Amino acid sequence: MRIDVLGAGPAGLYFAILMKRADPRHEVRVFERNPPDATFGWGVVFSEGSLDELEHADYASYVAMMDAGARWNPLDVRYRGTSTRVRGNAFSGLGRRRLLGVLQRRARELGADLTFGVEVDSLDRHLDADLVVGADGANSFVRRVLAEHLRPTVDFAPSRYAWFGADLAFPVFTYVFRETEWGLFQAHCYPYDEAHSTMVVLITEDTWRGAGLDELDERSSLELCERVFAADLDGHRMLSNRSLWVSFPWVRCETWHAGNVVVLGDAAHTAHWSIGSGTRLALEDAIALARAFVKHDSLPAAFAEFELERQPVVERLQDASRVSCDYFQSLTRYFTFEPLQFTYQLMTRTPRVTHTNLTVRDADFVRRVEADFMERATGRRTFAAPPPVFAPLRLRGLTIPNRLVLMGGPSDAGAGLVLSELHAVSLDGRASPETPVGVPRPPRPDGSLRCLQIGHMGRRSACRPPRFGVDRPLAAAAGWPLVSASPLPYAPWLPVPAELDRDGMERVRDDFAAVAARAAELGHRMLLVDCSRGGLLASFVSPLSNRRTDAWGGDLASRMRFPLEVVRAVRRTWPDDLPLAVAYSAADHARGGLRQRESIAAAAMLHEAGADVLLVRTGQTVATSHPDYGRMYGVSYADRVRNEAGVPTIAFGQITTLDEVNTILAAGRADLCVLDLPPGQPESRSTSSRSSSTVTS
Amino acid sequence: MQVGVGLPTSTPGTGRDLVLDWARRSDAGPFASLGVIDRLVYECWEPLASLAACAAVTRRVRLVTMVVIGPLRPTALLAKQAATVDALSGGRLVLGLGLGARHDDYEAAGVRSRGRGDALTRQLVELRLHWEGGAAGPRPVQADGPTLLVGGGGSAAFARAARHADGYVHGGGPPRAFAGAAARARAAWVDAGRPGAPRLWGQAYFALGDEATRDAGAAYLRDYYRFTGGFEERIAAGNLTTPAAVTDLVRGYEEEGCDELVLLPTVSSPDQLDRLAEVLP
Repeated sequence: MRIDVLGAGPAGLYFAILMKRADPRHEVRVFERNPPDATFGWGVVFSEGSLDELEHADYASYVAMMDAGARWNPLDVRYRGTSTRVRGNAFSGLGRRRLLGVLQRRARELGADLTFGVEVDSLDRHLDADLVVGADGANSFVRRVLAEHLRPTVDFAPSRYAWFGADLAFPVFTYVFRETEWGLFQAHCYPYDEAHSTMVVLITEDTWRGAGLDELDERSSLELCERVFAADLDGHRMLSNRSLWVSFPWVRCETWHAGNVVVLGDAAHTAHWSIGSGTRLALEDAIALARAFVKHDSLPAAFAEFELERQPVVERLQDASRVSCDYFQSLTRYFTFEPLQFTYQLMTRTPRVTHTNLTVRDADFVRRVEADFMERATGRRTFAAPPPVFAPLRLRGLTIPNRLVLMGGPSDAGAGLVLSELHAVSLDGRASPETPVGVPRPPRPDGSLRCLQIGHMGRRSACRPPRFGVDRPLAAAAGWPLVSASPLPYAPWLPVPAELDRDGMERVRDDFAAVAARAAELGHRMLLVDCSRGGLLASFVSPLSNRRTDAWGGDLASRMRFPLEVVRAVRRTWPDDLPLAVAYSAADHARGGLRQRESIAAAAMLHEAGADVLLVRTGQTVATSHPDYGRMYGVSYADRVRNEAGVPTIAFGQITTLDEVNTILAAGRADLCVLDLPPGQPESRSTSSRSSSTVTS
Repeated sequence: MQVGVGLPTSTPGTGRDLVLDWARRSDAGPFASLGVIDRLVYECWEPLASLAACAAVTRRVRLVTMVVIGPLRPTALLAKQAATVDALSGGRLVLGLGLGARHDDYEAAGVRSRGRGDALTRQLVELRLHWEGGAAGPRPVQADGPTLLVGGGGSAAFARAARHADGYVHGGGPPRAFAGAAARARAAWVDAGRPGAPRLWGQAYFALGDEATRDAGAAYLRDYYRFTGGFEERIAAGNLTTPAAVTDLVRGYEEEGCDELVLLPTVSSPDQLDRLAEVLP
């Protein structure tokens, strides 16, 4: 096969090596715009044992890379004058120039033809090739030319970074956070040989402008960074080589091939550098594509195999890297954390690293995190403590024995808190005729602490029980008139509610207060007021459902007025020493919905009005609004509310394992977690039913 | 998990004898259901009409659409067709609905493709109303109407399935892809406050036999999915062409909590049923 590779970066060179290895008869030509020893950027980093693949694919280049690089496994987090170390993270760093040198030599040794200094600006020159490989980087010419087929999207992260070097070898991978008068400067530093490190400096757009970096030349911007990181450089210098402040481009393509052309590495997809995977993805792409040609003779079959194999892997890494990028752009919200928890949060910023993973990496670090967590929960310092899920939570005079929240049902034993189904505060607030009204009975005396949910479903009332679906209206004769903030039906097929007037508001408020009083009388110890899922209170909060022009509509303060009045009324009635929770929708997921800023402000208002903890949900404001369902989809909202509004939160949304719960809690993303029970697998009762029959006999 | 088989209604060279014989033999064999797929602008049979014929020659298997492109059909008419097939089959219809992936189907049907998501949502709600005694009868034989499934890949589809149907039907892929979709379908179900769990259906293509059979299967899939502009090769590459590939996939789907997996033929050859039956555990 005649193969033309455009771009002599890691992806292109490695593919050339592997194809020549697989069959020396392949004619492989590599074309590169830059000279062979050009280097932009400093060192590259490989994480988490990603080198294993390289060892198998081509041992000779693997050994050469290892000889040229630096390896370490701890990482340090320098934050607020402290340094916290976490062990067990396998990393390797390698100078980019050395890496390319190794790959160039190996490619030549195997008989590939390398040409440098030729501009890659036309595919016409490669018409005689059987296969053309676009390995020409994030700014790919090939991708642009074939855009119609590859259907790429490129968007930019809202932050700035610059890729510096430094003439000192940081002892290990080091995250440095330095607060300046213009905002936070962070540097992600790793050594790549005995005497040099890469320092990637990341700042927000505001900090970039505030510090005047948008107007400084390369020299001055380097000097400014040297001043910011003076303590870390310890007399050494930072190095610049076209180290410009840029925004990270997110590149995705629907497909990676067109005709006989295929794109690899950054040309096909980018993953944010903060999870250190760009080079790894590029090399793994080359491996997968070369393997596909071992298995298939035809280009279409090989391309199909390549994409089937790589696209899921790349998408997962891209998703994780997006989460990581978001984290680094917004981490000032965690600056109240103690260094240990801050470091834990950093380590677990993507769902790929959990409490259990960290325990395997550095058991002592996790022991200290767990002991700290328990100390914050109980005030008692111990050498070791159970994982965070077992820590009690004190809310007012009530101690919730552990952090696990379950919806009431056959498998709710052992939860720290069991949420009841929604009880309507009045007949007209029932979701369906089967919805319980008021407080029918005292809490079940079975040992679990129960939280009684009370609410008014507003324009979602008077529906059928949800066995065959939600929002199915009762037959007209069986229904009842609905009320809402504004006379807008929840869904086009549902009845139009009446706008709740002032008398109605007072009645609803008094209903909530009366039910709260009754719940207290009957011995309930925790109450949750529902202001979510498009119910009556929620209908006031969202601008999509509240179009009032009176004192209860308009800006956020006005829209919150009635829900806050209800929360205050409940709080006045509900005993002082018992906690009150509120469920609220932190996002509408619909155009024209609640803004993020409003969402945080609303949380703070609810807290101030007496909500001790917020169950954070999203969506269902209107019939078509829903979260983007995925693993732990609600946690980022609980996190933001907790750490920006300063309100304790209950996280909700596809949290399915205790490992996830521990991670969320220890990272300070929420204070309690609702665990989704696996479907259709109630706990086996066989042993307990046997023993209970013994007891009763 | 139960395993069903697809009806060869869109594979080249199909015909009355093949389809009716296929249906009879599936009914006698180890299969739990007979599935049909839907597309308007293609050389393939109409799914509900096909199932009506199958209803007449089978007594046991469930008859499932995976999926009918709902918005192409006026809801009252679809409700009537579905109720009729349910009646003809003695209550064996499972109605899977989706949006389809092609605009030309909408153009050919004279239906606007804009707003089709909302149209499908509304259709799901209205189907039940028709079945419960709307002006356009008849009532289905199944007391609560046919099981409704929703297909599609985005969060809107998961939300639609959770709010207005009985379950979710996945579009195909390796067990890991099914697992991801199943988790999201369950999450949407919990979020909607539905009791119990969604029914989860999966599907996969197969062609068992010699090289000519495998090539014919791949050629059909390439042709059927040509409109995806590049994706067809991947779909063709995913065709299950060995007994090991079939059993691996069946096992994988079972582990991921699939309730019913339907294996769709890619060649119009009666021996496919026997070959598949032999492979199944």
